[in-house]
Amino acid sequence: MSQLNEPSVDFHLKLNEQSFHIPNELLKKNVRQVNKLVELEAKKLNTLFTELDSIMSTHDNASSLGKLNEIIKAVEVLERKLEKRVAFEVELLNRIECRINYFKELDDLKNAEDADGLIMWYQRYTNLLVGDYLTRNGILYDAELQDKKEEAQQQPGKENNRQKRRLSSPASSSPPPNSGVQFLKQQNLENLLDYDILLTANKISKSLTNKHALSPLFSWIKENHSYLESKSSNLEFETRFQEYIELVKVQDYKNAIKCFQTHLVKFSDSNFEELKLASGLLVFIKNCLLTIPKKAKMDASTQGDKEVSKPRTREGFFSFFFKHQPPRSSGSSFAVTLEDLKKKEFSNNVELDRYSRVLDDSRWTSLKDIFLYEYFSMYGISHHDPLLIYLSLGISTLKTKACLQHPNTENSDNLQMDLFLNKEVVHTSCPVCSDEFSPIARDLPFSHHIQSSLFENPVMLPNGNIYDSRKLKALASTLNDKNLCQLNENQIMDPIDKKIYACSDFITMYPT
Amino acid sequence: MSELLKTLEAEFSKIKDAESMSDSPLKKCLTETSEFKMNLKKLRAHLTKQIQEEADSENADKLARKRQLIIEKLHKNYRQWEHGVRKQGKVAFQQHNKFNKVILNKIYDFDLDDVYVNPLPPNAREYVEQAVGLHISRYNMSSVPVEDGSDMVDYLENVYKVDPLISKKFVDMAQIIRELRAGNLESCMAWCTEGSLLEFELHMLKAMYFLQSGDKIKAFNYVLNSIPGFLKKTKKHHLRHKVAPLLAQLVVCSQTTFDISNQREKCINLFTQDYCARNKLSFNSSLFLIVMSGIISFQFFIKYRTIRAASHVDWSTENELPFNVKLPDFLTKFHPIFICPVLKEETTTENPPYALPCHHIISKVSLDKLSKNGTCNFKCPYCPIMAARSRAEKVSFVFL
Ligand SMILES: [Zn+2]
Ligand SMILES: [Zn+2]
Repeated sequence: MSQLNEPSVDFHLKLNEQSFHIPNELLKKNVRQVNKLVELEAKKLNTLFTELDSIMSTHDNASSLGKLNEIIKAVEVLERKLEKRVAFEVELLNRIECRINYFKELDDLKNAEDADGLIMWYQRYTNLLVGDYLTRNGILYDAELQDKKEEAQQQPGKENNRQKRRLSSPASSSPPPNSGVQFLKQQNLENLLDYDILLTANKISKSLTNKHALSPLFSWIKENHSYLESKSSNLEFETRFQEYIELVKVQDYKNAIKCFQTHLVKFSDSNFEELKLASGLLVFIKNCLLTIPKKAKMDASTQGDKEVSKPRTREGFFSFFFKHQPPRSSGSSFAVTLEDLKKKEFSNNVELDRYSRVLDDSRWTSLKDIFLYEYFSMYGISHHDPLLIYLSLGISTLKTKACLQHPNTENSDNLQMDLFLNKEVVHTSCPVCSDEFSPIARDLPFSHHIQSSLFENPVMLPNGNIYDSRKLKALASTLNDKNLCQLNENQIMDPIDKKIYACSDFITMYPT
Repeated sequence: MSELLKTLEAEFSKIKDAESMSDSPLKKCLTETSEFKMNLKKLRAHLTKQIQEEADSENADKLARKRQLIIEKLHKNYRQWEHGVRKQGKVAFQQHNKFNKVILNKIYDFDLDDVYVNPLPPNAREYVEQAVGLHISRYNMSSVPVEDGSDMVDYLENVYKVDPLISKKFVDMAQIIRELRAGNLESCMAWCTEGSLLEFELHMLKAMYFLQSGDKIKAFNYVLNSIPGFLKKTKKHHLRHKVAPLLAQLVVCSQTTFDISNQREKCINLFTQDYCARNKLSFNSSLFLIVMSGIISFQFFIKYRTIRAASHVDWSTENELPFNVKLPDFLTKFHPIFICPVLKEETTTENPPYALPCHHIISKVSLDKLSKNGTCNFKCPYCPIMAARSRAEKVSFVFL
C-alpha cells in the first residue's frame, strides 16, 4: 500500500480497463471496415477485369484503355480510403500509448513515494472524470444536432469525426464545441478519454429527447446491426415503432402503413402485442378524426391566421391526448383541437388511455434509455456516469455521524464576534458538509470507523464541550488580536455558547 | 513495477513498433494497393504503346501474343494484390484479437456499475454541477485566457451556479497565477505577506530569471539587495542556506543548471496555499476530496462486493458501510470521531458520549446498560472508580 492508502497500479488498470478496451474495439472495427472495403473492391475489380478481358478480345482499343482507366480510378479511390483508415489506426494507437504513459507516470510517482506528485496525478484523474461527465451531459446546440445528421451519412463511419474536427480550422463557422471536450483539450487530457464515443452517444440521445429525430439512431442501428442482432436487442423494433407512431401522429397514413409493412411486420413473432396496438392505433386515430369533420381541414388550410391560435390549440390537444408538451418540431400541421375531441365525447375512455400511453412523449425517453444501454454495453462503458459512481463511494467513505449537523451555536450580543466564530471557527471544511454536497449526502450510508479520531489535550468545559486546550487558548488570543473580545490571560471563549470560561475550569479528559 | 502494466506495455510495443516501422498490416495493405496502382499504370503505358505499334505493324501474331502477355500480367497483379491485402487484413485482425486476449482480458475484472449500490438521489445533478463549477474555479481557471474577469464570474454563476463572491476570489487568484506563469512576478510580490516563505521563494525566482537572461551582475545585485533585507524581516533563518546554492551558481558556473520552471511551480503552489488560507477558501475542492476518497475506497467496495456476491446478500440497505477505509490525513480530521470503548460503535446524536466522574467517556447506550437504566452504581470499565448514571454528564467533542 502506498502512503495515501490508494490502490495499486494494477487495480488502477482494472478500474480503467475501458480506456484500453474502447480503442482496441475501435481498432478492430477499423480493421473490419478495411476488410469489408477490400472485399467489396476486390469483387468490383474482378468484374471490371472480366469486362476488360472481353473488350480486349474484340480489339476495341479505345474501350480497352477506357476500361483500364476505370480500374485504375477504382484502385485510387480505394487507396485514399485506406489512407484514412491507416491514419485512424495511428490515432488510436496513439491514444493507447498516451494511456500507458499516464499509468507509468503513476507507477513512477508511487515508486518515488512522491506524495505531492501523486496528489497532482489524482487531480488530473479527477479532471478526467469531470471531462467525462461534461461530455456525456453537455448541452448540445441545435447546430450540433444538425451536424450529426450529415456525419451519420458520411462514410466510412463516425469515428473519423474526431480527426476531422482536429483538422478543421478554428476559423470555420463550426458550432461551439461540447463543454466537456473543450475542458479536456484545455487540460491536455483529450488523449486519455474516448470523448468521441461519448459525444456520439450524447448526440444521438439528445436528438431523440430534444428533437424527436430518429435518423441518427437509424444510421447507428444500421452500422451495428449484427451486434444488436446477436444480442436479440429490442432497439430496432422500438425505433421503428416510434417512427410509425410519429407518422400516425401527423396523419401520414400512407407512410405509416408502409413503415408497418416493411419494418414492423417482421417482428410479429417477438413483438406481437405491440403490433396489435400499433394497428389499432391507426384505426383509433382515423376514427377520431373522421368524426370531427371539416374543421380540422379548415384549420390546416388557413395557414395564415392560424399562426396566432395554433400554439394554444396544439398545446391543449397534446396535453389532453399525449399528456405532455407537444413535440417541438413536426413539419406537418396537426389540426385537431381539444374542443373537437371534447365535442366528440369519447365513450371509450379505456381505449383513449391505452393509446395515449403509446402516444406519450415519455416513449422518447425510454427509447433513449434502450439506445444508451446498448451503446454503452457495446463498448463496455459504465452505464452510470463514472463521476457519480466515485462521488457515491467517496461521500460514504467520508460521511461521519457528525456530518450534516449544525452545531447548536448560541449568539451573544457581539454581532461581529459571532459572525467570526460561526463562519470561521466552528465552520467545518468537510466536503460532505459543503453546500454543494450536503443535499446529496443525506441518504447515503455512513462510513464505518473502528478507531476514535480526536485531538490532543482534550479538556472539558463546564458546559460539556470538549476541545483541544491549546486551540482554545490560541482562539482567545486571536479574538483579542482582532479586537472582537477582551479576554484575560486566564480566560477563553467557548465558540459554541459564546460564554467566557476560566482556564482553571478545564477538566482534562481521558477518551480512550 | 506493476505486473499488468509491464505486460500491457510489452504487448502494446509489439503493435506499436510494427506500426512505426511502416510494417503494420494496415500500412502494408495500403502499400500493396499503391504498388498495385503503380503496376496498373505501367501496364497501361505498355498497352498504349502497343496500340500505337499495332497501327503501323503487320505482324499480327506477335502483337496478339504481346497483348495476351499484358492481360496475363494484369490478372497476375490483381491476384497478387488481392491475396496480399486479404492476408494483411487477417493479420491485422489477429493482432488486435491477440492484444485483447493476452492483456485486455486480464485487466477486465469488474464493471464500475457493480459498486454503484447507493445511487445518488435524482436531483443530484444540479448539485454535482455546482461542485464541478467550484472545482473548475479552483484549479482550472488559470489555464483559460480571460480578458475580463467579470465574464468568467458571470459564466460560472449562470452555468454552474457558483456564488459570485467565491468565483471572484478565484478569478483574481487565477490572474496572479497567469502572470506568474508568464514570468511577471510583480502582482504576486505585491500580494504576498512581508517575510513569508512565499516572498522568499519569489525573490529566488526573480534572481533565477536574471540569471537565465545571462545578466549575472543584475542577479547578484538583486540577491544582495533584496534577500538580506528579507532575512532581517523574517525569523526564518533556515532560509539562509537556500541562498547559498544560488550565490554559488552566480560565482562559479556560467551554465544554468537550476530548474526555473520547478521554482515557478513551487511559487504558484505556495501562493495558492496562502491565497486560499487568507480568503477562507478550502485548498482542495470538495469534489476532488470526495473523488479522492472514492478512488481510495473503490478497492474495498470491489472486495466486499465479491464476498457478498458469493453469499447472495444485498448490502445496499445498510446505513453504514460494512468495512473500514483508512484515509490519509488530508481526507480526515473534518469531524471528531469517538468510538465508544464499550460498545465499539461510533457515538451519534441518538447515542451521545457521556463523561463519567473519572473523566473517562462512554456512550449513552453503554451507560444505560452498565447502570441497568440508572438503577445501580457501576465500576468504570477503565478504572476502579465507581460511577452512577446520575453523575454522568453529556459531552460533545468540538474540532477547532
Ligand atoms: Zn462532514
Ligand atoms: Zn474511569
